[in-house]
Formats: sequence, structure tokens, C-alpha cells
Amino acid sequence: MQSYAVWRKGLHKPNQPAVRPSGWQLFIHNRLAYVGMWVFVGCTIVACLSPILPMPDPNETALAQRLVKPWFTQWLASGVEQDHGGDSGWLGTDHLGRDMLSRLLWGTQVSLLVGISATLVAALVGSLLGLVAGFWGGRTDNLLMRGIDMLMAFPYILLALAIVAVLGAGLMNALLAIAIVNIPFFARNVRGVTLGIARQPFVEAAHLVGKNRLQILLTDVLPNVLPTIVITMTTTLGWMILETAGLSFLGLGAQPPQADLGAMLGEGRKLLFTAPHVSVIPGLMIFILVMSINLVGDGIRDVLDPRLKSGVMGRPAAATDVQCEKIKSEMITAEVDGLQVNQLQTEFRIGATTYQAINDVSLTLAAGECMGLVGESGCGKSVLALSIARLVPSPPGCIVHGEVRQARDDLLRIPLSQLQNIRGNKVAYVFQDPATALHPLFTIGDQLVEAVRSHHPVSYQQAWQQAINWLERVQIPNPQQRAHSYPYQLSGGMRQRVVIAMALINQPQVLIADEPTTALDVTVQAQILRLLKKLQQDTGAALLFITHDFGVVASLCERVAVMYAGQIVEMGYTSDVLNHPAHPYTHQLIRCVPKLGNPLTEEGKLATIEGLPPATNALPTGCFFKPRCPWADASCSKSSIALTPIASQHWVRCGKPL
Amino acid sequence: MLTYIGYRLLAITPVLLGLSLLVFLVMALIPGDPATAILGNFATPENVARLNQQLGLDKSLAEQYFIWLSHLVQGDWGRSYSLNRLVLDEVLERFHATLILAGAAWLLCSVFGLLAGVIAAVRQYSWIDKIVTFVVLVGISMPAFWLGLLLIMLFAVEWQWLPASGMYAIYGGGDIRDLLTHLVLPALTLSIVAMGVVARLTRSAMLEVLRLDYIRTARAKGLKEHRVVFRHALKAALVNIIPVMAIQAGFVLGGAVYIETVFQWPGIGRMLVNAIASRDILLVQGGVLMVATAYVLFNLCADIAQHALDPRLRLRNRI
Amino acid sequence: MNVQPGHYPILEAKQLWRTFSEKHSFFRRKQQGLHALQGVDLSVQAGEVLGVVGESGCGKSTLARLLVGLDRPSRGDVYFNNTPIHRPDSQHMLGMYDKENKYSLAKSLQYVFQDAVSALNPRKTVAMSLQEPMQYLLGLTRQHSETRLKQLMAQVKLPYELLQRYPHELSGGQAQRVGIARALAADPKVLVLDEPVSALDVSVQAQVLNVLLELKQTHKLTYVFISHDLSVVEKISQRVSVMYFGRVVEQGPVNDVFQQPCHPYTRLLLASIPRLDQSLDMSGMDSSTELPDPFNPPKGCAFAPRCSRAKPTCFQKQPTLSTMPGEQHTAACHFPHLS
Repeated sequence: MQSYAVWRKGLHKPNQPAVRPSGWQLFIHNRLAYVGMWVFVGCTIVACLSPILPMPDPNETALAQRLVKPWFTQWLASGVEQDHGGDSGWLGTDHLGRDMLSRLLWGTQVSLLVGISATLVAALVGSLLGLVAGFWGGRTDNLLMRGIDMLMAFPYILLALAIVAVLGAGLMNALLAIAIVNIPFFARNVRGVTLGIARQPFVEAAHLVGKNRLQILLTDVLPNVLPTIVITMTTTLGWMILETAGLSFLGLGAQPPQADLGAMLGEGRKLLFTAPHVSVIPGLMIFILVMSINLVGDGIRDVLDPRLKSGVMGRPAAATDVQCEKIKSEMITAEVDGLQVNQLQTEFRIGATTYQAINDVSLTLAAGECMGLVGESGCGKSVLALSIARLVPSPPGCIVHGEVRQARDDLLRIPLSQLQNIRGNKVAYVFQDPATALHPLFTIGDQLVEAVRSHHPVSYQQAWQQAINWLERVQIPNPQQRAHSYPYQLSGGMRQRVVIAMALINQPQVLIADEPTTALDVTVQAQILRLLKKLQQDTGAALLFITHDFGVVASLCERVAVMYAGQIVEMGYTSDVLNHPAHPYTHQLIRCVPKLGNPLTEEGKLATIEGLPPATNALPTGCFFKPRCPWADASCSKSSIALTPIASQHWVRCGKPL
Repeated sequence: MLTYIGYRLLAITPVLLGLSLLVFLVMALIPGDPATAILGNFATPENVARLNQQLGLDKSLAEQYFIWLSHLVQGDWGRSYSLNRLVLDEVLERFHATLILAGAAWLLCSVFGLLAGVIAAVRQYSWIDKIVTFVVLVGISMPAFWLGLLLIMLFAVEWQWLPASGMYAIYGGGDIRDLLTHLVLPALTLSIVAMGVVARLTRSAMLEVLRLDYIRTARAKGLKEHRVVFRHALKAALVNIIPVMAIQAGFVLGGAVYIETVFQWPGIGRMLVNAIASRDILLVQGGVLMVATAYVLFNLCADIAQHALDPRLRLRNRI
Repeated sequence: MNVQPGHYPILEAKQLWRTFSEKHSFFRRKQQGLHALQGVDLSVQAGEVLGVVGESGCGKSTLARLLVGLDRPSRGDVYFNNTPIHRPDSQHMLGMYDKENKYSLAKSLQYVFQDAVSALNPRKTVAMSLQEPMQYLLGLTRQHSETRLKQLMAQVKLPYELLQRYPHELSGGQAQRVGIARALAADPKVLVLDEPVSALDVSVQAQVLNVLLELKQTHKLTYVFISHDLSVVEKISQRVSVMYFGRVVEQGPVNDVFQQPCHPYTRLLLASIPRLDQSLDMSGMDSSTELPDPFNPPKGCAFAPRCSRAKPTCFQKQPTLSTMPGEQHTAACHFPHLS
């Protein structure tokens, strides 16, 4: 998502590396996983100790002591704790008078051992197959994957049954069967990840540093696949234990008299009505064991999965959070034609860190005018654009100050339903990447119709006609047929035309275009810019055009605002700002842009701005550009600097404008 | 679309052939002599040889396979020695029962799993999300057969609301109401794990889709949130959910083995367990083939559904 | 800039074709291949910078990968110092894997990736990534590479502290400089740079370009600089090749090509660049911008459908590179602009 990418770029800046919490810290931060881990460790230790604990032999029968109830049921029944002696055991006895506690612990040991061994076998073989298939590709891959598909054509429990049928019932055979049926699962997962990694540029780079395939597989691919293998192992371990227990339950796994949780359950099933404890207790044990493993597995997955780590799994709400008081504005009742942004401040809150993406931004967009908003990545220009209709993903985004006025409304303070009536109707957007901005599963005609019908009570046919008219206006050839196309059937330039049509179809008063041509080729860009300009003039919409390209601003916009580190540092008529930049940043930035026909400097170099923009979670006091400014002195760091007019319609945020 | 269905129908032929080969090989590899198994340990060598000849076991493996396959196609699935009945009849009858159980369980797991997943995703981090997440975790950590036992104890023994086992009441039953009351507990038990898996996946697929650019576009268009979630996000998420729902169909078909044993449901799973225990190879073979074929066909349906949903797949397959 | 190009071609491409054919499965008809490169001839003189410009889909990235041996041509070959680097008998996917050629080639010919961050192994620190070429190509041990590491970091103007960072802790500009340092680690003669600055902001882009300009001087390097940005190419190259739909349509010295473009496509490219001193030319022609179908390339000139000067010949006959006014200036057009 573009806005994420942009502000995330601002997160890691030189000389202050983000403090990375270790995997372990992240893990124990997850309460459930932490608890699960202790439960699992506890079960494992007790199970391992079962041979040396002072317990009766699990297979020792005592027919006189059959089906003794556990102490707690006796206690519950009589209300008095009875003397239950060492003989009858804490958990009672089964139908042969064997001690349940002892059998339970021995059984846990067996289940754990079998589960872990099956997991290891499946993981080893499956990962190897997956790695080889994914990395070598071609015929090897084809052959291996066909075989795996064939195995997966069986419901896997059935496959395990078939294998047991061949090998005969028994614990080792059950282990083998469970391991075999899980191999395809590992192989598929690992192959998928390997395939993705093998196509990464860094693997190609490894070829170029002179490594051979095996070296690349072991030092570049495997370390990046390992987290997937570990995640798959922890998530399958629980399954494996359940499945082996299942086979034993059916009498196909552990054979009597061996103590195994599944087998105990199977035996207890027949006594369900007379002595429920014989089946309930081992089931409970399996449940606790598997549950703790699954909790640990989820914890490990959360730590290892990079997507979850970066916190992008959050679901953006329908509108950005607004957490501020109404600001006192004199023009509270005045109608704004166009758009007015006052003292807007937007933050991203990630954990304990607050990134100030936008810092006190005010601007006015008159009806029918075209204003450019220029800045480098991470300067907050996209966040500003999205803040206007509260489209900043939230969490982690949050608007903490300011107002956005359109007509009589403050967009930050009207209810969601009212905001939804304004979005796409009065204020419309064109986004950067036409490849991702359209829904891939609906035809473009359908998406245009939806835009019309969500604001106007017209029939589907009427809206469809309108859609075709607009496709024609954005110069899409054969609009009648094209309306039935899906986005993937169109080129990038065509898709962007559709997005523009979708934005303008309800004749909005304000059009916000967020880098609409950045993803396009230069010849396509020229056409899209011409189209946008023409349509803007025809419809009379105010256009806020966000870009990083001064050339585009010069060719399109009457006024321009330059942003740096979340602030507008200079604003005025395009010709004034470009020809007589007053802020050092604007001045330097324009010098950096390579221009056709302009020679290099005397030293045979290009002009640069040294250093990097400040991290938005640690902004300096005073002027934000001071550390990189060649004209800076002590006065620049004293206090925050306001945007002040230096000429008519020309504002600068600098103590000593050029 | 029709071409695609035709193509897919053609494409499953080799899969079915491979499947039959696999089943055949597995059964052929079973250690121990089927003739001895049938005739018992005290059979005379002559009798064994005669039976081997009768069964065609003296021919080469390839020949045996083709003979076996041609019989299979003609509907001659052999005779179960433990039941003394035609395998095909037995399998079809049992499969009918399993289909009712697995179908009900699959419907339950799909509908409720999807619903729970969507709600949890839309209300991420709310109490309802936490409850769903926790219930899902409990569901997938529980041995289904144990859950079945607990449910029987509670609903059939303690409260006596529902019958504990079987498909129809022994006396008087036989109508659809009777079937449904018998179906509730086993279907619920069978669906619980699959439901957890579907809910989990739906939640993460929805979360994934909800942060994509085209969802932002939908919001920027001014669409109401329910439209964004149910029309735009869910449709895109379904493309990833459908294959998992198909896998769950395999899971409920296989899981039926346990559940049918617990609830004494006269389905193919219980038949298989008994057949394995009594080493009735032809019966095992017939049962496995039947279920696997059903699963392959089901996967085919899922593929077609996915294909209908996602126009991009049509491009990739160029049909 | 007055750099005398060397007198011998160090890297050459002769009639390079690359067709990506999709796999055809059992039931499907065989599909036609995607024609990415259709007979590209290039010659890079030792010591010069050759710029390659073109829009998406013109085959410039495919060309770059063929030049360094990351991919194999379907026809034709790349010659390094007059030695073919892709031998036709080799069965390997990667030309680099011709045993005899591999080490010598990777030592003298290196590649800089467009996406700098993902070109670094996410689980390796900068130091580990930089040590690899020294270890595998030069046979240096850890201890010996220590000084060279510091030298490299200084050359690309990065502080030493960054050596212990992981790729995701670097900014885009820093990562790209690490990429350049890695390419330089084995002391190569030629660098092929595939859009090395297009993902960077202008101020950072200028920093990286300056590093490249300086390294070229100090190390007497030869660059093949691939970019879609004409103004950047103009700043850094001596000669330029303009590509369209898998072919070179115009090439020659930068000044000649950019000031007196002969091919209509080059003229369109130059006219499309938004300029600081010009507002939008609303009268510009709005012809189609669609490329021809790469699975089924046209018989004649690929640009003809977009070209205002196209005549029937253009749709029939493929134009070849022919000499234009000016030194070593060629263009593939039946009706070039000759001022």
C-alpha cells in the first residue's frame, strides 16, 4: 500500500537504527504464547520424568481395583475428601485396574515422542523435496509436484489409513503413515517460498559473486526458507499428535497394553456411560498438549512472519481516527468554494513511537484552480492527500489537529455516512498505481456504475450509459466493448484513464491526484497530463496534484506548495517558486533535478543536497532543514519557524529566505 | 467457461488413473498372502495355488493391473469375503451415509467458518474477534473423537436431547426428522475442526485484502462500508478461501472415519476401519477408491468455482 | 565532459535475440513466444559510458541480464573482449555457469540491480554481502578483506558503521551504494547498471550519480547505464542507444541524438519530458500509446502505428540501422528527420 510504503521509508534513517526487539522479547510479549510455552514445557518435563517418578507400572493390572474414580469425583460426590491411598491413584484406575495417572504420563511421553518424530521426518523429507523442486525448477519440479499432487488427491486421513492397512497396525507404522501424509504439506509450502526466494534479485546477485548453485542454496536460499519450515513444523506438530492419537483411537496405532493417549481414549470409549473418567482424562490431556503447542506455534509464527512483524496486518478502518478538539476558526460559517485545510496534523503511532507525518499544514484550494504539491518520498504529501477525506489507514494513522473545510462542512468532524456522501461525489481521488487501484474481479464498466449509483439514484442502465460516455471522454477506444473488460486486460495508461473517469464521473468539486503519472511511461504521462488538464478545465474542478517532479508541476499547475518533513516550506505561484525559490530546500532541490541540455558543474558533478531528511519520530527543534542547509546558523534552531509571506501570494518557512 | 470445464474433465482422467494405480500398488504390496488370509492359516498349498489362479495373482503386476482396472470400470469391484457381499453394493450404500454426514459437516464449516472469519476480520481486535480467535484455537486443538464423546455424554446421556448413535432410530424412525436429529451431533463434531481452519483463513485473507489499494479506491468512491466489505473485499478473499474449503471437504471425508466410529454412523469410514482390522483388502480398496474419486470430483468443482470468480485465471489458462 | 572513448570494443552484443516461450502442457496448444529482444547490436568501447534508454516493454532489462550472463540469448551472443560469453553448447540456464568462463567473467563484468534493497540478502549484514565477492571471486580470507571493506565503503561514501547493518535498516540510496560497492569488490572493468537510480528521490539520485561519476574516473570503468530517464542518461553517458519494442532504433553520441534526433520515437520521447520552463503543450498528438503484441510482432516498423510520418512501406518493411548525419549516428527509420 502506497501510503505505508511512503511513511515506512521514513522509519529507518541513518545513525539511529531502529531498536529491534529480539525474537524472544517479541515472543514473550505474546501472553498466550508464553503461557502455552510453559504448559508445553511442563508437560514435556513430567512426561520425560515418568520413568523415575514414584508411580505404579502403567501396565500393572489389578482387577480388584477396577474403575476406581479419580479423587476429585469422589470428593465432589460426598463433599468430603476421602482417603484414597496410594494404591488407587490420583486419577483412579481403568477397566483393568491400571493406574490412570501413570498411564497418562507414559502415554503423554509416547504421544509427544511420536508426534515430534513424525514432524521431524515429514519436515526433513518434505522440505528437501520442496527446496529441490523450487530451486531447480524445470523438469525436476514438474515431476516432484505431479507426484505430490497425486498424493494430495487423497483425503489425507484416508491415505494414512491405507498406509496402515499395508503396513499393519502398530505405533511405528502409524508414525510412518502420519509422517508420509504430511510430506506433501511441507513440500508444497517450502516449494512455494523457495520459488519466491529463488526469483529474488539477491539470489541472482549471489550468482554474480561467483557462488555455485549448492552454495547459493545453502547460504542464500535456505536461511530465508528456514522460518517457513519452522512455522510449518510448529503448526503441524499439534496435528501430528492429534492424528496419531486418532489412529490409536481406532486401534490402528499403539497396541495394547502400551499406554498411549489415543489408545486409552479408544479403550475408554466403551465405558463411556459407566466410567467416563477413563476416556475424558486422556482426551483432556491431548487437548491441553495440542492447545499449548498451537499457542506456541502461533507465537513463533507471529515472531517470524515478516508481514506480521512490520505491523501491516492491521485492518484500516473506514475512516481515519480524529482525536482533537474543534479548532477555533473565524470562518466557521463561511462557505468555502474549493477546499481549505487548516493546521492539519497527522501522526502514525506504532507501538510507543509517534511519527509526525504531517505537521501544521494549511492550504487553500480555490474552485477551478490547479495546485501542485511537491516533495520527496516520506515528506508527507501522500498522507496529506489522504488525510483530506480521512483515508489514511487507521490504525496506525491518526489526525490529531486541524480541520478540512469543503463547502459548509468540516470533513474531519462530520459523521461517517456524511463523509461517504462527500467522498467520490464532492471530493474524488486518483491514485498512483493504476495496476492496483482497480478491483481485479469486476469489469471496469461495473466499477464506474458503482461509483455513480452510490451517489445518485439512477438505474443500472442509465449509469452504464453514463459510464460509457465517460470512457469516451477519457479517450478510451471502443468504450462500448471496453466497459466489459477487466482491468488486467488494459494497459497501464488505459487503466489510469479509467481511474480518472471514475473520479470525475460524479463531477466533483475537488479532485486529488496522488502521483497519477509516476507509474507510467513518459510518453503515456504526457497524454494523461493533457487529459487531466483538459477535463479539469471542462468540469471546473479544483485539482490538487501531488508529485515529486518539478517538470510536471511546471507544465500543469498555477500554484505550488513544496513539502519537507511534513511541513509546507514554500508556497506560491509556480513561476515565482521555480524561478525565484526563497527557501533553501526548494532552491537546492530544483538544482538537483537533472535537466536536459544543462551541463554538469565545474567538477563534472551533479548538484546534490547532502544528508537525508530527518526521521519524523525525532524532528529537530527549529527549522527541519537546518542540518542539511548550507546557509544555516545558530538562529535557525531557536524556535519553530512559521510560514510567512515574503511577497504577494508567496509564503516561506525560513528565518532567512534567499 | 464451458471449454474450461471440458478441459478440466479431460485433465482429471490421468489423475483418476494415477489414483487407481496407486491404490492398486498399495494393495498389491500388502505383505502376506491374500489367499492365505482368505483361506486361513491351515489351507493346503493346492488350495492356495488354486485361489491365486482364481484371483489372477499368478500373472505379472502390469497384467494384473489392467485386468483389475477393466473389472473396475465394468462395475465388478469384487466380493468382500468378510461380509460376503458385492463390494460395489456395500461401498455405494455406505458412501451414501457418509455423503450425508460429510456434506452436512462441510456446509456447517463453510457457512459458519466464513461468517466467523469475516466478522473477526471486520472487527479486528474487538472482543468478538478475540472470542472467535480463541474458539477457533480450542476447536483445532481438540481431538474430534473426544469432542464427540463429550457431546454424547452431555446431549445424549445427561440431557437426553438427541440420540447418541446411529443414523435412524431402531424403532419407528426412518423419516427425515429422525435423520436430522441423528445427524446434529456427528455433523457438528466433524465440522468443528474444519470450521476453525476456515474461520482462521477467512480472517487472515480478509485482513490481507482489506488493506489493498483497491479497497482504498472503493472507500474513496464513497461506498458504504458494508459494500466495501461484502462486495469488494469478500469477493477477492474468496479466491483464496475456496481452495481451502475444498481441502476441508477432504478433511471431513477423512475425518468421518473417527466420527462414524464414535457415533456408530453406518458410513464408509467405519466400514474401512472394520475392513482394515479384518484385512478385507477388496473392501478397503473399494472404499478408498470411492472416497478418493469423490474428493477429486469435489476439487474439480472448487477449481471451476474459483475460475468463474477470478477472470485473471482465465487469462493465465488462456482458454 | 571530454572523455576520450577507448579504441577497442570491450563489450559487444551481436544480433541478440531473446524469446520467452511459455511452457505448453499436455492439453494446450503450443503458445507463441514473447519476443523481448529482436536482433540487438551494441558495442561498448572501453572507458566510455553507453546509455540505453527506452520505456517499459522495450527490452532494456532483458538486454542487461543477457549482457552479464544472468540469462541466455535465444540467438546471437555477447562478446567480452572478443570472447563469446554464452556458448551455444552450454546447457545451463545461466551463462555464468560455463565453468571456464564464469570466474573470469564475473571478475571483470558486474551488475547493479534496480531494486537495491531486495538485491541484498535480508539475512546478511552489509559486511557479509560485501565480503562474498572477495571470497568467491578473489579468494580473499576474512582477515585480508577487512581493509578492502573499508576502502570500498569510503569509495561509495558510506560510513563504516553501516557495515553491521541489515539491508532493511538502510535507506534506498544507501542500499544502492552498497550494491555498487559489491559490484566493485572484485575490481571489475565493466559495470552494467539497470535503472540504478530510478527508485531514488532526486536529491539522493544526484548523490549516487556523483559516486558513479567519480568511480568511473578513479577506476577507469566502463558503464552500460540503462534508464528510462533521458536527462539522467544525458548527464552520465557519452553515447546512447534508444530502444523500442526489442530493437535499437537510434544510437550515437549523446549530443547528436538528443539535439538532432532522427527517429520519430526519439523525438516523441524528448518532447514528452515535462520541463521546468514550459507549460503543457495541449496540442500534442494523442495517438495510441499501445505497444504491438509482443507475442506476434508486426512485419514492419513497430513504431509505425504511432508515427505521424508512417507511409505504407513502414508497415511492410522492417527498417535497419543506417547512418545519419553526425559521427557514428545511426537510426532505424525509413523516413528519418534530417534537419
